[in-house]
Amino acid sequence: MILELMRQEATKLAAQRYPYLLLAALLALQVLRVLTLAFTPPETALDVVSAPQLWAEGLGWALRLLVFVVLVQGAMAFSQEFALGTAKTVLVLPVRRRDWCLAKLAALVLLAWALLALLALLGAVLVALTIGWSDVVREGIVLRPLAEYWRALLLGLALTGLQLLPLCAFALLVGLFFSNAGAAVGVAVLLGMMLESAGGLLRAGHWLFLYHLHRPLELLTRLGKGIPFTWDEALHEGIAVSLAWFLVLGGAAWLRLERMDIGS
Amino acid sequence: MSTAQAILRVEGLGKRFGRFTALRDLSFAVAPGETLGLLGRNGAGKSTAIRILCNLLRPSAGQAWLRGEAILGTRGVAHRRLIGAVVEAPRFYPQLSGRRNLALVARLLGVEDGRVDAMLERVDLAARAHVPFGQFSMGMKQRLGLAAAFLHRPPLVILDEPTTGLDPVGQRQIRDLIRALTHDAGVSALLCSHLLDEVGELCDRALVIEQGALILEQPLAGGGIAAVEACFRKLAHARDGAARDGAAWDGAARNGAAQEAAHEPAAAEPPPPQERP
Repeated sequence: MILELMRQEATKLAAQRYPYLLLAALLALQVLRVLTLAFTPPETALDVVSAPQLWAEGLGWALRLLVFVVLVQGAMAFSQEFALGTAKTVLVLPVRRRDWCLAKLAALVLLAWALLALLALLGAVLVALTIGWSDVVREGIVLRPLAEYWRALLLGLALTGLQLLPLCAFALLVGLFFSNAGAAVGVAVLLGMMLESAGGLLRAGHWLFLYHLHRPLELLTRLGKGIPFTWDEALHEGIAVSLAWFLVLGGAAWLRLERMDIGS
Repeated sequence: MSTAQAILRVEGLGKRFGRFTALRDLSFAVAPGETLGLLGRNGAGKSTAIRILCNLLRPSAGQAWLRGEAILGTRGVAHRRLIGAVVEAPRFYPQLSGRRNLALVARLLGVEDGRVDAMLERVDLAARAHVPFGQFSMGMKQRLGLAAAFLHRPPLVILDEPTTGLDPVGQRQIRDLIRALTHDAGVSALLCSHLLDEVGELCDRALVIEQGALILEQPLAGGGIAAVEACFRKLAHARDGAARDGAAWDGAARNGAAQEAAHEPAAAEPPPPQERP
């Protein structure tokens, strides 16, 4: 049943226009960022533009818009069903609310991961076409050989994917409180921005899931300058915080849907 | 009808929204093959009852049994394969075609794809099945809703105001379709409406709900609709009187009006109504 519901989510998404516009904007932003970086001359002889740096910075920029896309799509997942009245059509069928919630969450996570993978692939192609995939070199000295940083790139990408999990659950949960898709999206984006800002402002900010979102890519950018990708305490914390928030927010979304009156 | 025979039995159903009581102690049963009309003015509690039976609202009290199995507050969903429902106006995904929408419903019900085309043919939508649902007329939407409700050949259908928003010709088409799909196939139906003539035409028995409570149960064979009509007339009269005198329109006043209405002789000598306490 969950797979069938996920398939239906894909059918509905593919039949709409706005996902394609968002995807085009996402890809355009990354292409612009990578090309700008690749063709801007370094300010000093010590500055280097290496393949992992270019790839990570391009992906980091696109990630900002990807967060927005996930918030929009997640907030609309349920609120649009309530607004259209299709929630009633689905829930009079033999569909468990828990399954519906899981299917929507899984579909959103898969969408976020697919977009991230697409951006990573596009970034890899752009790097290959501009400066080429090669060792990190400064003034003729190899700081980091190509063979050594591949593993770090894949790890950074996987960690970024992991950090997207609580964001998906958060957006889905917000959408469950609105029967107006526009209001749900607005509130989700606003709360997302507040959470991201709060991470830097509050002392306890590192317990917020958005605080850790960009760290893997920042580490990759540093790797591109020759600084090793360190598997440190902060990365461990980021993984724990993301998984904990994902479970809490996902569970809250499920409970909310399970207990709510539809169309009252 | 004994409750053991009933396909659907409802006992003591109640729903509160905060301090507001939308439904109180509603009990009734639907016999196999029977079409039961649920009548009441706007806001009387008909749709609340329908939504509870369709798993959209959680009841504050009471239980319902479908073929003897409790269906409210249970984790199982298998019983929903035995119910087809159209709650308010049929709602489907506007960007998908009528056929695509019906196919989505069919897959969730585990119905074979061939049945989708058969139902589209049955409700006279085959030629327009590839038009996006968002471009359907109100009549087409209602017909697609009926196709979805009857898609899996359920023994019970719940229809909530199926002709709302339709012109007289559209209403006639939908009523003919409902009669064909229920009476001809021996399907039981719970039809919620505020149109007396619709209930009189399609139903075997009618329940009247006022302020969330059942006030009249009336068999409709042999002109029984006249008693229902009298009940509504008396209710309107008593309510207007209460408003004029500044008196409370409470349970006692409501039941008094209902009982008075139930005893009013009707021209067509309808079967005796079953008064509610």
